[in-house]
Amino acid sequence: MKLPVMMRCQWADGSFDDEPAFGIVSGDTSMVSITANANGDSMATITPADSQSHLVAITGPPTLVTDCPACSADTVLPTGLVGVPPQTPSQHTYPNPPLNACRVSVPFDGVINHNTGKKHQAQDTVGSNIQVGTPVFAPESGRITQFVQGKPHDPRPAPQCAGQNSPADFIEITGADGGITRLYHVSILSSLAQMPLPIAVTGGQQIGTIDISGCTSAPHTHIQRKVNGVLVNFTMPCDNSHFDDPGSYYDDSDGTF
Amino acid sequence: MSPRCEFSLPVIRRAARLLSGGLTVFLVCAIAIACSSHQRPTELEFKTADTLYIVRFQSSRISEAQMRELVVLSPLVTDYAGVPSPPGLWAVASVKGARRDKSLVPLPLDRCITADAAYSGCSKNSPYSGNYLQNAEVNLERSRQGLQWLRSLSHPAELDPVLAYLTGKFALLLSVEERQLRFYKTSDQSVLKEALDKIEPASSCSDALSKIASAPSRDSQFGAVATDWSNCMRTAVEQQFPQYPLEAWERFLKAYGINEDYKEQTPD
Repeated sequence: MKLPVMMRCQWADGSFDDEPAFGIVSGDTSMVSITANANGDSMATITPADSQSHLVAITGPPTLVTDCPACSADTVLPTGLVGVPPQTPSQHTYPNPPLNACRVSVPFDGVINHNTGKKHQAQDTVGSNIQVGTPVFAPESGRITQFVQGKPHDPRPAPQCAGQNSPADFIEITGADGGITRLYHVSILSSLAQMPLPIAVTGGQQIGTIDISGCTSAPHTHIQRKVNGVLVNFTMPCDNSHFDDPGSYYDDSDGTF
Repeated sequence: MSPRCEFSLPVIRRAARLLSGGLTVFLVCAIAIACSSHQRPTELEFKTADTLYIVRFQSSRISEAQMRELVVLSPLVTDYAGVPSPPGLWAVASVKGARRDKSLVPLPLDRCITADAAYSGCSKNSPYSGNYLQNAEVNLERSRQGLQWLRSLSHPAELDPVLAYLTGKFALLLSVEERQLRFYKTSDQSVLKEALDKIEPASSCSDALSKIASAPSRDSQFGAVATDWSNCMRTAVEQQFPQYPLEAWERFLKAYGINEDYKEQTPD
């Protein structure tokens, strides 16, 4: 099974560069081979150093990544970390896609900060030709129980502002099962914003449009689900075949979040 | 009863005459430190995976038990924040630019949580099923208890406007939910047209009623009741209770020296 991973290259001055790549997980994930980067260049073989934290270190001689396009000739093969995506089982399946022709760009459990090992506890989702104003739909029936509107765009680069008190617009839907779904970087439709909460919505109904409020470097929606105070993984009816298609993984999200 | 820390200047002067200067300074400092430690605010903290709500207050002015109950009324607190609230109260909120609003509303009829033994058959909880009607009664009963709790909540006078807003709105919304269930039980559309307080659904929700009357199937009819009629009735309720009285809440915080802070982890 091919999985998207982040590969870390260390430069001669000690700084790091992260770039998306695609790994093949064999067996019980004891071995991950990075077979290609986004350009299809062959890469290194890595093995997990710590299966509990889902972090793996690249092993082998440095020359294995000499064809890394983001690295110079003096690249030192990283002893840094690579994230292995989704490991937390999905606890819920939504019946409706939040965007037309949607696909997940950054999955739940994807390592988003290689220094801290912090994992994504949401799914970033994009759609074909996504842009500001693209319609967003309720992924299931329920009630809009909260929304925030009018937050500005944070101009800092996404890696700097992510999780750093950079509030974004969102729409929150509570389902009959009590699960709370939030769709961030989404402006609620003005017709809905004028209605009193809770607003009953049906799955598939348009509830808003994509915006770039808060910390985001490219249009997408950050979707998270909370049950009893815990953020949980979930499944959406999106086409995720790109996980088997090196080169397409980061196309729409520009490799950022 | 918390210890009081009152001392007057004459007492200090008398102590100063009796004691040497250095010792006086030491004594005054010791008293001040002791008093400040007694006046350190009590802090209640509520955490979830991505939220943190903290309220600080003087327990000599408002008890911790009462503060725990009153935080449910805070405009910053919703279900997402993980602050425990009595069953049957559901907090909804919005922020439009700088304007914040919040309401407490009854549980929806279709709420059905598999892990909660009071509900049954959650996987097949359609309005036509017997278990739906039972589950809906569970929700209504909990909401009635929530309203009762709200009405009997002991509170400072500063919060009268907040309680009047929250209970008045909740009571009307509960009646809307009760009507919706009566319709599900009887399919009698006249139930949906009955006046409710100052609300005349026959005129103010005529579009929704027409849609229900002309619905081609039971499914779409029940759907129109759950969305169109229900949303329309809530809009009518909103006109009577348009806005959470934020100023009253702020006055309450100021009068009791309460400080609240709510943080949400922003998207990454």
